[in-house]
Amino acid sequence: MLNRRTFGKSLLAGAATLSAPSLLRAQAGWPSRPITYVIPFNPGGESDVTARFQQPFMEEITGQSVVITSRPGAGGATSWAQLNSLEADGYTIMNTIVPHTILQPAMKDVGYQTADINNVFFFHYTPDAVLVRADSPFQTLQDLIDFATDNPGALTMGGSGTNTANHLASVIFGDLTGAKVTYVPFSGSAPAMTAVLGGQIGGGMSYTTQAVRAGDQVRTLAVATEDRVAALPDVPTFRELGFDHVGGAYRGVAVPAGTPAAVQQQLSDVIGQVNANPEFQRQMTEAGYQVVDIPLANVPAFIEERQGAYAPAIERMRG
Amino acid sequence: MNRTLHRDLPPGLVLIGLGSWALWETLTMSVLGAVFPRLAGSGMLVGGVILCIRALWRAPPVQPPEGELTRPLLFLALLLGWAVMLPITGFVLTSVCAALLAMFLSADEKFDAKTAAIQAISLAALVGVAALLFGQILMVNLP
Amino acid sequence: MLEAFLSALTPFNLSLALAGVVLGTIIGALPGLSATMAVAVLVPFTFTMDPASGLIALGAVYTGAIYGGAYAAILVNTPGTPAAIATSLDGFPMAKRGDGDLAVTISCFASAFGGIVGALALLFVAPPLATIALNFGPVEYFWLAVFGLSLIAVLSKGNTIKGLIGGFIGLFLSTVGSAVIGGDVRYTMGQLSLLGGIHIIPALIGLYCIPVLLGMVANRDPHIERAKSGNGTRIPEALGTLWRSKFNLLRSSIIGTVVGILPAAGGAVAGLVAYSEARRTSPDRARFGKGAPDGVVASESANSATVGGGFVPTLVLGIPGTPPDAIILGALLVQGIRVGPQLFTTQSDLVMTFTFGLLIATVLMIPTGLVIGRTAFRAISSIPKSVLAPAIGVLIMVGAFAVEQNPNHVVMMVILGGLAFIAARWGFEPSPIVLGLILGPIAEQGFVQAWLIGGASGDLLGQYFGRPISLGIIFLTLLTLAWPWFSDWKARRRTLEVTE
Repeated sequence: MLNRRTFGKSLLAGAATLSAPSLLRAQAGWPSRPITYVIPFNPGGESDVTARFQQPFMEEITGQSVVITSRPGAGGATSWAQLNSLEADGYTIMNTIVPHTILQPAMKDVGYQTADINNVFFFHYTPDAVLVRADSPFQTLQDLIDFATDNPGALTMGGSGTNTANHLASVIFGDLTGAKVTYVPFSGSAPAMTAVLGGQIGGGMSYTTQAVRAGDQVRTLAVATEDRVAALPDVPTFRELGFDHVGGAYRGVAVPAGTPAAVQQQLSDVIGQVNANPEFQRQMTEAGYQVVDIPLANVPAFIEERQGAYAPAIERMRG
Repeated sequence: MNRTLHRDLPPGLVLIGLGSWALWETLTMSVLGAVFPRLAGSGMLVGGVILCIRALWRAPPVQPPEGELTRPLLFLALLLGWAVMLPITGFVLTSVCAALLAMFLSADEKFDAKTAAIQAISLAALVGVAALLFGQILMVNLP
Repeated sequence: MLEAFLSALTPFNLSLALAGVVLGTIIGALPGLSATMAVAVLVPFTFTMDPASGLIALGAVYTGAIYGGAYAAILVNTPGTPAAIATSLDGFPMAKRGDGDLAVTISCFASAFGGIVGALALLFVAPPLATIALNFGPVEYFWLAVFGLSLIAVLSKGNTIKGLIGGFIGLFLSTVGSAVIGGDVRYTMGQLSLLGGIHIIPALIGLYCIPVLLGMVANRDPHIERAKSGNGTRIPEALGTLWRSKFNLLRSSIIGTVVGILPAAGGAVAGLVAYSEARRTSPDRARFGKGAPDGVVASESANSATVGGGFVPTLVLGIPGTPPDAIILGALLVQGIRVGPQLFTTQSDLVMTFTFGLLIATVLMIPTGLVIGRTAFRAISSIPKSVLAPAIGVLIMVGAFAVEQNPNHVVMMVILGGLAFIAARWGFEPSPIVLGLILGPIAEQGFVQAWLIGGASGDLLGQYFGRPISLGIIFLTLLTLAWPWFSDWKARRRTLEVTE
């Protein structure tokens, strides 16, 4: 049992934790204390992994520790709906994803609108990739498209969830190529990949990172990047094959509305500096991510461009 | 003649209501998304009907449920207040107050001042330890 | 192999394994804190270590956390992690009658045995075992969940109607929120806080622990009986029990390993399937649910075996077998290790060192578990209720919040707890509801996926009933449902023959 002194100490410490946010509301010297980096997904996923790639570099640049905390729920919506109720001082930042933050409010009431998310930087995207099991008869993307065009609906392609980035990609894929595939939603990337590897479904509408991880168990037929992915040098891009599709899950960092403009700019600069670090780029590229630089000033144009690109597919998903 | 209600009648009626509502809601769902809600809804509805029919046929059970009801319900209300106040008044303050109330509520016999003080202090210490463990080591942002 | 064994045995790695097991056990014992969280918390610390040591630390925490869940399940009737649900079915009745110390010791040895079987499987037969994960398609998951649900009928014998209704209530609760598969928003009544659905861990705490807490306040008798005699561990008795149920122990460990390999199943399913099988094959089936040590043996050996089993697809295929495995994969990635199938071939010494680390951690779990278990038992059986009840209150509040740092979870926990308390007075047990809640999504997702796949291939019936593994599971389900009547009938015939 604890004695009185430890009790007193812990109470003091508890009181200190409680009052800390209100005492230190400084912004001139941002950052002057640890930054909380909220990930709206489970640990171990792509959002978590890329944030952990950033973490040491951000700490090095700011001289403050960056604490990653995970608050999953409803495909990220739980956290994004809470974003603007968090303290707007630049010490709480949150991971966001496009198309999720465009798609979710468009499909149903999730408690936030796309415009509510105050992004300061988009630092990478995880490109869409179409993959099949290594022993699949489809050698090229054209083989798959031909089969799916001749046998409408007979080809099943698995991805993570309904009304998600994978689902959207499969709709866009169908619109672009005229292929009619049956999209089978799974509860995450891992179960979807298992089903691809087990031959339960004909192919996967997945990400380059999953393709890299699965190695030679799968054949990746196309990736949605501008240039070929370094980790998958033999895989053609959609553009090479004549389909204009570049995209995937764009991950950014957002702050609560009302965060001082100067702090937003500083944060944007910090993430830009991390992105410029060759060591960070190497880690990201090796795992199959594509580093991009969309700083604060370019965010509104980027969101608008993406909304335009997704609009037809979203219209079809709303059916 | 025992005129008390059969124990199964209230849950039967609740289930009929819940099941009907669950089925009503499935009308707006997609075909595949409605399969399991319909299964669950009909299960609750049919179960409720069976319970009611059985309750009207048979005599009520002899022994009433044991234990008193006032203190548990008070305790439940306390827990609910605790949960609701958590994000408003913060973890440490709410928990210390609630734990002390819970202590008096769950004590079987009257205790003397010394015991009460010792127990109160150890509970407050537990809250402190929990706040430290979760807040500092496990990096949970406690309210 | 010897080299890998020796490098796992360095003093640094050994102390890491021990510290990991102790930390994991404590975290696992607290309601609401799961193995996933324990591993996630530790990940940043492992970045400073070399990959093998980091992996050993993570594996040890994971092993410890899965085991730690047993304490809360046995001593407070609160399976803090879903993996320990089946443990509480017999563990708490044992504690209630004064055999809490025995139950804790049995669970410790059974867990260690299961963990060792899982780790050995990982060490020797991982590549062929990984194909099991691949042969398990949506339909198989659907039938596996149905098999788990069939346990409701078995568990609630004597009150089957209320048990089945409980199962339907659980299914209903599992559909609340926005569906991952299909995208429907169901039963949220416009409440945004319900969009994410009813999270399993706050629900578990609410449904199991709050009625116990309220019962503690309502009744004057002690929460659990104190130890009758002995030094509080009863090791010889526990080992004797395990020896008598050695087949159960081995079968459950194998079930746990296999279920652990399946990426969408998890420790809860492993424990329940093993429990169901143990009950079916046991000569005194009637004792199950009333404090049969065999139930604890089955559940605990199975859920600990999922640790090793879960690493099989993680390391061989690059597909995480369990949620904590996903975090460990992520950690490896951050350390610059290319995970995936090549890991097992190109960095086999790393994998070997890790597997031995896991084995060592499992062995270290025995002394750790006995010491912590004895302390926990003594504490819980001797603390006055006026301290115990509020203390449990503090822990469940913070635990339910910590799961996703969401205050709504805490409110949901209390509401479900209140409903469970009322339901208990009406004669409804929490277990069928929990089974429905946990297995409902697995069944539903498998069903919908199989429907889509079967529809695409034009052979819907063949998809549901034409696959060998599915048929095997269907057969087992029917066997489980029919067995009690069959053996009752046989027993009656035998007594008839004797009397004639």
